[in-house]
Amino acid sequence: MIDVQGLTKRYVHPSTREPFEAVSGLTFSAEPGQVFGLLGPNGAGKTTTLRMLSTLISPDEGRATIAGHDLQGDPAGVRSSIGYLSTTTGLYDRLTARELIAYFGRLQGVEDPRPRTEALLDRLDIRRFADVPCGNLSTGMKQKVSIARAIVHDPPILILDEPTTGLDVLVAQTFLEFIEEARSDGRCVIFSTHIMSEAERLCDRIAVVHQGRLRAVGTLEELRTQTGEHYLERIFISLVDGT
Amino acid sequence: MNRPRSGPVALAVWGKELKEILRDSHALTYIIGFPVLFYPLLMWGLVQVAQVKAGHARTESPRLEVSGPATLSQPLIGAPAITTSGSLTAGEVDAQVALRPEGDRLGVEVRYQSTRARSERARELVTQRLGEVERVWLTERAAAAGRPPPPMDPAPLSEENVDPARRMLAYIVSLALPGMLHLVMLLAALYPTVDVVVGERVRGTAETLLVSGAPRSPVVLGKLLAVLSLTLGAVVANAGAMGATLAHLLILQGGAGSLDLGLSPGALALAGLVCLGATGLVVGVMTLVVTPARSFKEGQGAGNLVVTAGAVLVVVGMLPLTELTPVTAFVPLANSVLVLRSALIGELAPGLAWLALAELLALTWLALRLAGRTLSRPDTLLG
Repeated sequence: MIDVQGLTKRYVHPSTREPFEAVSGLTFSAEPGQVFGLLGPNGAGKTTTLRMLSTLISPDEGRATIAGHDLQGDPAGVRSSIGYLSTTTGLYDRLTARELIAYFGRLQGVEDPRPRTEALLDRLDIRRFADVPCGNLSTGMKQKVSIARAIVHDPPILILDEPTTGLDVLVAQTFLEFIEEARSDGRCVIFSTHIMSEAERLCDRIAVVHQGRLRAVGTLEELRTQTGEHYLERIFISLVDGT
Repeated sequence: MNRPRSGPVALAVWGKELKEILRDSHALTYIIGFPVLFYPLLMWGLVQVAQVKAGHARTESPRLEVSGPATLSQPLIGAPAITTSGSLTAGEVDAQVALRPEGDRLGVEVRYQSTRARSERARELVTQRLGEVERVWLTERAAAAGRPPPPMDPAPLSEENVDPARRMLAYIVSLALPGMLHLVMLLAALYPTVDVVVGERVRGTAETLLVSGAPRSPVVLGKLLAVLSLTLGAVVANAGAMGATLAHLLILQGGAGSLDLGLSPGALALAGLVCLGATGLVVGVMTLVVTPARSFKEGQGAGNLVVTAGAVLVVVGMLPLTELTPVTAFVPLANSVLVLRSALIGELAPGLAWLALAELLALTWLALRLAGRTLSRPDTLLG
């Protein structure tokens, strides 16, 4: 479902003007019905990786296929197959929740987005504020609308960039439940986080990324075996300290 | 899974942008509130001034210059009228009356100025006293012939409005209206462009938009069309409010005939097309300039540069001595102002108008293409 081979992205450092690799030769894969976690500290290259996978930026080297679509050969096909979410993802303040979901349905090529919109309003329990402008919604309500927006076209793959960062426990819980539900729906979920408990709870496979490089990838059990540590936090530190 | 098609995507983006901007109180004030309130208020003020002036005119004695037999002049020159002589157009007299007995008929000719209240009052006075003049004339003729006066037959009255202000007013309207509309066009394009382009980045919605499956070109097209629609809406609203205000003023003043515009539907339609081309150019250049801005403030700053540069070109078109020529037809915006000016006074040369239209459309195409290319780059919207 997601197959990444040697993905690399280079930038020029804004202050030193020196080129550096934000992501260096990343290789991993994820299957349907699987939650794949990208675990790493701030600046590890998680967001850059997810932005490349969602076609927001182009890789300098490597290749990837998403739901059978080549990242660089068929970016439109990739975009049609993914739902993308991050905490910085904004909503249009002057559109109501219902209008916003339907609008993104149209952008995603859903012929008549109304039935799908109504179904999502019920499924995510947002009907009672469906006609309220998004600018007037609470953070939790906004996140629910964001989720509806991301899955309005029923994508097989979800790309979530630190979706719970900065959220309170209750709102974060909504997200975690949504990820579990997506997995049981057979979607492939790839999400980045630096919160160990989230990764431990949700991820079927985890990739630890540090300074743009992949340090380890596997199930929690495989990582335990590889590092000899039990808790993910200890596993993470041992992998990152081995720089 | 369906791939999104360009037409429905462009339509969806266009509709969404319009909906969003029209729900913004600032935009509504700018596009609808301003023309709906400003011009009627302006008209109300002008009417008040005109009424004060008309009030003064009623208390002043009309000054008549009467030529013809002295006995016939007598009924006209009683109070409140004052007889004098001088130039009508210079305002030395308010009406000139010529009384010409011609055989069995008395010819009466009145020359006046319709846009001067005192002159209008003089004309009314002459009309009211004409019966008495005719009665005197008939009595004199009957006495000379030794028979009783015949029944009165109203004298044929010939009125001539010699007002140069009629033409001057049309000239002033043709100078001011096109320029004002083009300034409105520049100002009206600023807010929606900044909102639609920079707002996407500032509010953090660019990411969402760019990872949607929608192809980028129709998204950009939808945005440009939304700004174009709103700018045109503002121009039409302002033109309507200005036109209605002007028409109402003229009716209050004594009829729409007092504005000597040489309007022709064909010329106006052609001028409308040229204005449409100018709007496209303004929107294209505004988008191109505003796109790199990283904040609303930066966007407004960049947009203000376009407004200022555009205003200079508009003012060039508004200058009284500037005319639509093969050279000025190539000066963007000034050419559009000049085409509309010429159309309003019935002096539009269609060849030059088509030349201006072709030039504006070529520049619009170039500006929109560059703006579209810049705007559809992901790094542009993401910042």
